[in-house]
Amino acid sequence: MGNPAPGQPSQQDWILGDTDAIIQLLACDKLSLLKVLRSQYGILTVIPEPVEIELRNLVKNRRFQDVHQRLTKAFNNGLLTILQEAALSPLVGVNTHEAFERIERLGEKFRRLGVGSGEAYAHAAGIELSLPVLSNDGKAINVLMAY
Amino acid sequence: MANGATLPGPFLRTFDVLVFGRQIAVLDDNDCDKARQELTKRNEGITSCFVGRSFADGLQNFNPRLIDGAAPIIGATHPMHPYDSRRLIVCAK
Repeated sequence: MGNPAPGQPSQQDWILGDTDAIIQLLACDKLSLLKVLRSQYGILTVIPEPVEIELRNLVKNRRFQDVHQRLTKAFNNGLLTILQEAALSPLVGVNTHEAFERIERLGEKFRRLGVGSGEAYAHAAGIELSLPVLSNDGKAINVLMAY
Repeated sequence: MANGATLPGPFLRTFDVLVFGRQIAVLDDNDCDKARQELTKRNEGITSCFVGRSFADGLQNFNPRLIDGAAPIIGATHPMHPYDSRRLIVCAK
């Protein structure tokens, strides 16, 4: 495993965020706790692209319209980072493309089991990268463990 | 994978993050209870021990999965759920 760039947390210090938990932290205006995790503990919150899409869609709905600006700010200031192939190298070495493809394939497989798109890819990345997942959906975990 | 996927966890919940904030004294009980009330008001699903109870009351039955290893532990001391044993213990840098 390579070393992270100076000042950057290592990949081991990532949490993979799922839509339901992130939207709740936005809704109760406590996303700042993720900032504390990043600044004081070096833990970055990373979200797969399907989670980003779900979040951006959710804040268009009336129910979460009021947190639209909070979400935009979180993306703009890097509090929520999108999982990208190039960022995987410290954890998986040079085989970032293969690792990212495995996440994509597993995420799609999970999604076809009826698990929501965001949680499917968050858990797929959690498996591939051995990272904690921030997700309230215990049902999805049970489905994935039981299939 | 006939026996299901091996999900490594830990599986953190919204309330793990809130309780973590309370553990490291970034939030107090009142802050956390306001968050609980806001989620309830929005009909969001919340961890069962906090349903219909104040944050302080619910905390007694909540075994945190995100923990600052150097701060005093709060919440239930024993696992209340099968996944509670998978914890993320962190230290400030």
